[in-house]
This record gives sequence, C-alpha cells and structure tokens, in this order.
Amino acid sequence: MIHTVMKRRLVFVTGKGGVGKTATVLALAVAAARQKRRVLVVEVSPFGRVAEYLDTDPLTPEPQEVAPGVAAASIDPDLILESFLTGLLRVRRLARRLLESDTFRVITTAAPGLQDFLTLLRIAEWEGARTGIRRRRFDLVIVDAPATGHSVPLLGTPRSLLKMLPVGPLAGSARALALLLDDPERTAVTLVTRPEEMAVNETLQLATELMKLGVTLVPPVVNAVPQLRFTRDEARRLRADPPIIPPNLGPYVAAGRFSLARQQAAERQVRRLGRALGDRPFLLPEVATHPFGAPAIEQLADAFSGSGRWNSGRQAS
Amino acid sequence: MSVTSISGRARGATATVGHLLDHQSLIVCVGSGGVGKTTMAAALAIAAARRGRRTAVLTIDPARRLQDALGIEVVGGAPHRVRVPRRSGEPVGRLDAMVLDAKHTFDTLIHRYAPSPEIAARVLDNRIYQSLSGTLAGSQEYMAMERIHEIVASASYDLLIVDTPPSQHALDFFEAPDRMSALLSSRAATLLQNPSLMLAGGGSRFAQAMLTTILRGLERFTGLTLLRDLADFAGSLDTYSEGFRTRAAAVAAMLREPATSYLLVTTPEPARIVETLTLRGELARTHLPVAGVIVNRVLPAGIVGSNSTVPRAQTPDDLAFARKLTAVHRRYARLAREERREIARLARQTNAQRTDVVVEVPLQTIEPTSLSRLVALAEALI
Repeated sequence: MIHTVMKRRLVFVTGKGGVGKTATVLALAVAAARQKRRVLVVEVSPFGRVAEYLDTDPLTPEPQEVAPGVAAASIDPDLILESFLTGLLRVRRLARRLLESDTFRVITTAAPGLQDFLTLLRIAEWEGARTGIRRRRFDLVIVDAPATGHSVPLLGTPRSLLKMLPVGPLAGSARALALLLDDPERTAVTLVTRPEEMAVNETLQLATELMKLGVTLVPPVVNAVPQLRFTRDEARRLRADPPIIPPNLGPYVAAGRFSLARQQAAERQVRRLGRALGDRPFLLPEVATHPFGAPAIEQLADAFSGSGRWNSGRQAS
Repeated sequence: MSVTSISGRARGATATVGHLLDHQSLIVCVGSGGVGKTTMAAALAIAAARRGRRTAVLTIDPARRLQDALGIEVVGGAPHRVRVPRRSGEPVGRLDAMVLDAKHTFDTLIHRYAPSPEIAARVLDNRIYQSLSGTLAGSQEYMAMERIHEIVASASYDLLIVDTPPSQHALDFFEAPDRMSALLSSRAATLLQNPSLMLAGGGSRFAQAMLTTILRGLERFTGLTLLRDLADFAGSLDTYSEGFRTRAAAVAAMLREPATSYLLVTTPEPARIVETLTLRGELARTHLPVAGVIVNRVLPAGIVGSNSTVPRAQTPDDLAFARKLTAVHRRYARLAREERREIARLARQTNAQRTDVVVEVPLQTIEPTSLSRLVALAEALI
C-alpha cells in the first residue's frame, strides 16, 4: 500500500464522515516520513482534526513541521481568495476591502467552484514547490480531502471550469490542474471506509463517481478492522452447541461469539468492497482510539509500512 | 436485545422516549458524524408510527443514508409511504419518509412568495439564483428549516422526526434562519443593485474601476454575466424580503416551542461523549430544549462473563484458542468498564438539569439496513 502511495506526489484521502480519514492521512504521512520522504499534510476542512490528533498548535496556512519529516498546513479560504484578488486587482488594500463586504462574499460563494479552484491551485503550488534549484520542498503531498459529498465537486473543478471557460489565463491554470489531477504517475485518490455495510455502500458510490472524473484510485483503506481473528476451526467450535472449547473457558463464550460475529461481518464487507473495486483493500487494525494520538498513529503507520503480516490476506472463515 | 433506561427520573416517570413520541410534534436528532443519527431517526419514526401516530421522518443528510436504512428510494423530496409492519392490536399510525431536496424547496418558496408568476420565473431563470440556491453556505440548512415548517404547518402529521447534519454544523443549522434573513435583508439588496457600495465609503473612481475589473474577472471565471444578473436578482428579491423575514421568525419560534424536543445521539467513546456534552450545552444556551440522549452502539450486556478463569488447555491448538478467547474477553471487559464510566459521566452531567432521558442501544453485529432490523431497533428504543 505504502508503495502505491509513495510512487505518487499528490494523494487525496477521502471517504464518508467518521471513518478515520484524518487518522489514515497521518498514518500514511508518518509511514512515508519513515522512508525519508518529506511529507506535507494539507487539511482542507476548517474543522480538521490534524492538530488535535498530533496535540500541536492549530495548523497555519504556511506549512509547519508537526512531526519528524511531516509538515502540515491548512487551507484558509479567505487567504486564498485574497491572494487571488490581489493578483487580479494588484492592490492589496482594495482586495481587503472587498473581502470585508458581505455582498461580495455572497458573490464569491455563489461563483460556482471558485473556492474549490483556489484550493486546488494552492495544493498544486505546494506540489511543485522547490527549495533551491533542483530540490523539491515536499516529496509527497497528502490531502485530507472533504468527506464524500464534497470531494467529487472539488476534484472535478478544473474540468468544469475548462468547459465554461476554454481560453484565457484562468483556463491555463485549470488545464495545468487537470493535467496534474489526471496524471496517474503523480496523483492518486485513496478512499477510506470501515468494514460496515452502509460505509461500504457509500464508498462504492463514491468510487464510481470518482472514476467518471478520470482520477486514479489506489486500493481503498478499510479502517478499524477487528484485530483478533478466529480461525475457521475455532469459529466452528465456538458456534457449536454446546461450544467445543478448552476447559474452564465457559464464561468467555459469549464474548468469543460476539467477537466472531463482528469479525465475520467485517470480512464480508471487506470481500464485497474488494470484489466490487477489483482491488484488494488495505486493512488497518482497530486501535485504541482514546485518546487518539501519536501512539495510535504510529501503530497505524506500522500497518502501512510494516511487514505485511496484518495484510497477508489471512481470512478466518 | 436489551435496552436499559438508566435515567427516567426527571419529569417523573414520564420522561421516556415513548412519552416523547406520544406527545411531541417535532423531534430533532442531533449529534456528531457517524454515530447513527439517521438510523435512530428512522427507528424513532417507526416506533412512533407503531404507537399510532401519523409520523414523518425527514433526513437532511446529503449522503441519503436513510434511503439505505429504510430500503426505499426517495426522489425530489416527496413523501414516501413506508410499510411499517404492525402487530395485531397495535394502533394504526403511518410513516412517510422524505429526503431534503434543498433546491426544490427553495424553488417552491420563490413560487409561493412571488408577487406575480413573471417575477417568479425571472428569479428561477436567474443564474445567480441558480448557483446561490444550491451552493450558498447555509442555504441547505435554511431550506431544511423551511421544509420542517412546511411539513409541520401542513398538519398532515402528528409528529415529524428530523435528522440533522453532523454536529460541527448543528448550530449553523439552527442559526440558519437568522443568517439567511440577514443576508437577504434590504441592505444587502441595495448593495447588490449598486455594487460600488461594496467598497466601504463608496470608493474613488479608481476603486470603482477596479471593482468593475474584478467583477469582470469573476464573470470570465464563472461564465456568468454577474453584474446584470446580480442587479436583476437583487431587484426581484426586494419583493421577497418581507416574506422571508416573517417566515424565518416563524421557523425560529417553532424550534423553541414546548412541543419540540431535541434528542442527542452519541456513541459511548470518550471523545464522542465530550462532544455530546458540549453540544448539549450549546443547545441549552440557545434555548433549544434537549430532551435526552440516545447512546448508540453500547456493548451488549451479558457478553462479559463474571469470573476470570484460568484456562486448562491440553493441545497447542487449544492453547492458541484459549489465548484468543481470553484476549477477546479481557478486551470486552475493559471496553465495557470504560463505556459504563462514560455513560455514568454523561448521565451525571445531563441529570444535573434533571430533564434528560438517557437510552442505550446495544451494538449490533449486523447493521440495521433492513426494515425488519429497524423495527427491532425501534422496539429496543422504547
């Protein structure tokens, strides 16, 4: 998994709300940083949790190091709009005044895709940023993209813009963005989900829409997969009536059966997802989530960069 | 399936979910993303219908998960009758499910308040309106409020149950009517008619020239004839603003009526409990009456055995199996303790107000994606 991501320079991580997008983003970032990649994590949502998870100061619009080898930055919609306006107007004071106007805000909110376009421009800027002549500032930019509903319009912005406006300076930027987003060598999208029916349904729907856009999907990530797995034989023994278990373990049967049922439900959903997408999903173990912080992220990063034991495809039943 | 009501004391013994379903006319489910709000809204609605109430459930969730849960297709926001299985002797209620179609609701509103069909047509054709009605921050929330008002006012139902967007936006949601009416106030409309007023103090000729440049830039960007469309839109809106204001005030009042209750939905993880308590405080401060908390996905009672035992395994296979069983049991025992602690904390804090119902819904190994499972969940909630 980590290799398919590290081959790229720009990775968007998206999925339904609450599945663990931010945790996945950070785990990927840490795993990549362990391999000496300079990573930038970009938080698009104003309600992002990157700073909370890493227990750092709130993210800033300028990349700041938040973990060894990992920088993070947030997208500030006002700031990107201001720099866009300053570029157009060439007078910063005027741009500021315009930004203070509620009415102007209505217009920029109403202008379809403007925010998304500016967000992508900013991300592309970081993707191409260099320090010195040859050296890239970041090897890998990982975007904590908006949840399901909004990620398709975001990634589709350059194309819809080009349709409306095929010539002119903005069209040039849009074309460059479209080239970047469509380039399978440089850019990929990872979907994060949980091993649950409704979450998988939504992921499949999202995958269909993203494929229509022409972006490259790398294997999906299934988060919070039960760690402990009973073998087929153990499952049979647990389910038997009465259960065939080692002596003295009677009081543990209920917990065992419950765990087995959850394990099997999760495996069904992982298989369903894999079959539908024709790609074996990458599994992340269920980790202690409270407090969710550096140790949990390291554990998930282990799964990404690790020996592959967790992802050897061992399926119990 | 077992459900424990660990707090039914407030308001005497009447503060139960059943009591709310029998007596309220609007119940709003609020909570963080991914806790099962939509599912709970659907289950509550099924329970209400089976208690004989004419019930509607409205989901605002753009991902439309309620459709999955109810196994129905809802298109265009029209009510869809759900066939709720009924046991003999149960009263005859009914259940309609709806998904919010924000654009459609906004269009309906434009028709309703238009002084003439021509003006309505002009607004609906206006490209600023078309883009605004779909994308303006808060327009979806505001339209949800409109739809709620419309459903309640239609008097077709005894009870409406509403599912809201995740909590980060929940307060936006309740403040949407105020913000929208502020935005559409005549001041904004005046500004729109004379864009140079956007620059505080009117601006010099130079500033106005710049503004024209920027608007042209945006026009080129969006393909809209922004200035003309804006002036046109603002002109038409002037005739609407009074209607919008009255309406927003009516909606705001409805949200605080005694027959309206807010139910928080959460899961027992510590982080979610913290969020829930914060949200509860915010709702209370805004005078939105919280009736209780549904704690979803609680580890079922009875899966944790009482005694820890020492396994006596004979074969290596047995030993591995015994280790797994012990580990699973230990893990669930720890989780159960943690959950009890969190729920007790929640109950303690919410009970300080002595008003809340706290209901627990056990974690299922199969998701409630079918009607029969939702019915089972509905039974568990009561």
